[in-house]
Amino acid sequence: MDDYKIHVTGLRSGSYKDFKALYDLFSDNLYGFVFRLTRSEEMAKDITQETFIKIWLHREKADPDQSFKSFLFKIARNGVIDAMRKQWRNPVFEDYLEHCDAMYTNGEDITQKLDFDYFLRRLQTAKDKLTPRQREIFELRKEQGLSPAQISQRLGINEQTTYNILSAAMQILRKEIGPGGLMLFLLFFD
Amino acid sequence: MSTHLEDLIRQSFNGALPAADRQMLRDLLQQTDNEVLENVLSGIWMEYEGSIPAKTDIDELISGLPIRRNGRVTAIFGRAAKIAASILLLLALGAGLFYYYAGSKKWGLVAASTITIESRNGGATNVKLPDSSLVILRSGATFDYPASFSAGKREVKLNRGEAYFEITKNQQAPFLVTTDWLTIEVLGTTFNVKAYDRSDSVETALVEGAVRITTKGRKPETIVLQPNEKAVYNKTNGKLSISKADMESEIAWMQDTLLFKSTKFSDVIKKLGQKYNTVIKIEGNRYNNDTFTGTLEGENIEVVLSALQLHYHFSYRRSGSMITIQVK
Repeated sequence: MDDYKIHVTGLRSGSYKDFKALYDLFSDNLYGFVFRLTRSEEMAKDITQETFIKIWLHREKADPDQSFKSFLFKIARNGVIDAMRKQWRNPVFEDYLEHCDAMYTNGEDITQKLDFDYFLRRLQTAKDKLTPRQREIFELRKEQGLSPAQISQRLGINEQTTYNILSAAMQILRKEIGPGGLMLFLLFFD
Repeated sequence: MSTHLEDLIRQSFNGALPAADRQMLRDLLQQTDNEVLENVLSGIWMEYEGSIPAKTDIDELISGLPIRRNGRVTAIFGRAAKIAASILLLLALGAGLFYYYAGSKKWGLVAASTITIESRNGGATNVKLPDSSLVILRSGATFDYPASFSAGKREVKLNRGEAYFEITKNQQAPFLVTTDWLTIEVLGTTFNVKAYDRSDSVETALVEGAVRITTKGRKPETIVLQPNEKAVYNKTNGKLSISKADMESEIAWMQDTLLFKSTKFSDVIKKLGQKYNTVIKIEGNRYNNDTFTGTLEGENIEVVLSALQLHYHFSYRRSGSMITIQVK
């Protein structure tokens, strides 16, 4: 069953070859796990790299009698939990998932390229097309999570005006983000 | 609470958390401490056997560390690179395929508008669906599709066996492949489905794009696959799990198949000779100007020739390592 046990023994005694064998066996698995949780290629890559670097540095702690897979988890877990929390704290993460749903429904090609990082970059570029006022209100709403009423109060404008500006901003973003992004901003009005 | 949290995280991990539950997961995550989260994630991790190519150069990172390494360094990208190449190859081959080879197939009309194709031994069968999507059935597979798709839905059924799909994009009509055990909704383009009767599992391997798989039965489970992953449904315990697809072996049968598009009969024979390492001579010139479009697959040359005999009238005799084809 544990045909990689020999590699763990080798790793302990400092064999880079055995380390590489374990890397080949488990790195894609760990990457897939983190990507599925965070939807970020960058996070998946960073965590995978860090985990294996730590394993190499602390190789004497590897125990051939214990599951290497759970050893991996022990080393990766804090990074994984932080990354997952960070994604879900981002108010745009849900919009991103919504965007993915819309892409699926529209039958668009989905690849790993459509990760959350890529989505954020696209949104950032699209935001450049907004007027300063539109951008300000959009960011208050979406990035700071204020309600339209709170925004109106803060900026001293009436609520209808806030709605109108938000709506205009969304039309522009929708156009910039393109097909598949059509449903993206539905969530923006709760 | 933690079982509810676990449920939500699992669904999210599988790419199938309903939009309505996202807010809930977000709130729960804020209230949950690391220890609880650790347990949930550890459970998911120990079960997860899927993978996505990490594309990291660990050698470079490690060599940057001030530590002497022992042992030999081998290239880590060999495997990933090969998989990518085989996908490309597949796509390239796929683009050239347009017609089914009806000669060796049994056709039947089941309902007024359903066409059933049984791909019998001796060759893979190419099926071009009404929407131009391509399905390649491995020999032994049976497959149902409607003569024309109704508006808003494209539904086909793999009754038995193995098939490779390249689906045409259509935003208005989702593409569904059903099997006896699960339903696959195509969100992207290319994938391979194994649904053999004798096997105790149903496997879906994704080459490119995305598919959403939902099990039938009382408590349906859903998974959205990423490329290079495969979903394995265990018929015995009803569990759906993600594991790693070795694309090269998943679709190796595609590459054992010879593909012809408007190829001269003599060139088809020449190609067969090369593949099966046999000298083949043709007597008779009736088919000199004939062209053949289709695929041929078989363990040995006899199987392939008998498939070809359903299309062309010829007999053949073997003498030593040489085969002579006599065109009638």
